[in-house]
Amino acid sequence: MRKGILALAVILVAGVASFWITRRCLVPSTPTSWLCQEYGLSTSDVERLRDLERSYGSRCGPYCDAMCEANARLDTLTLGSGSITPEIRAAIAETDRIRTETRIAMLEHFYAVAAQLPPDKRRGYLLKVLPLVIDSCSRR
Amino acid sequence: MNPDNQLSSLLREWKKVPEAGTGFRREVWSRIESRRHASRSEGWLSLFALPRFATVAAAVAVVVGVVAGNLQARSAGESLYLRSVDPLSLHAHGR
Repeated sequence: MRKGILALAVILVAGVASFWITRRCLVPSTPTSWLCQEYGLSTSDVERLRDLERSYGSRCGPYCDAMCEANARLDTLTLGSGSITPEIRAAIAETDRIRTETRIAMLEHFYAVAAQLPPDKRRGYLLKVLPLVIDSCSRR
Repeated sequence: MNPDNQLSSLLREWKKVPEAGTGFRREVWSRIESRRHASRSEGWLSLFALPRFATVAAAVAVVVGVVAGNLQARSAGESLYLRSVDPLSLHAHGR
């Protein structure tokens, strides 16, 4: 019985070890590496995608900062009031405006990335990313 | 008392069979059941002691581990990508 338990323990350890080693080796180090692995892209495609990512990244930062500021202002106004004031309405409208612009920028980027992928893989990519734009409010 | 009488007296005592206490039968069957149980569980564990079985089981465990690791890595990569392209998600995580 002891031999059986030992053998079972070794087998379980082998299974868990193979899981962790495979995961460690295959987990992409950057988002672009995942894109390339998932869609089987060439080196030239990778370079074009990196350019797209850099350009998108420079647009993302300001949206992120603007949303932080708008939400901070909304937090202050809503906590300091017991009813909806014109300032609160304006602050909510501002967060909506930023969110709309962000969603449009995201969609433009997704279309640009999809255009770099093989035609048969574009729809699959869009199915993965479009929920970020179409359902982005309800997921938060 | 002469030796014959002593012996007869001893033999008479020997014929008295002590009565079993209450619950004796129940305890005996319970011990039989638990030993039967132990030998059953030893049964499937002893399969792993067989070299051929253990080798096949180890190979299956490794294959399952590799497949699961692959799937998990892809899922982690996808999550990483989606978080990276969603500025509002970055904003939410940064708060």
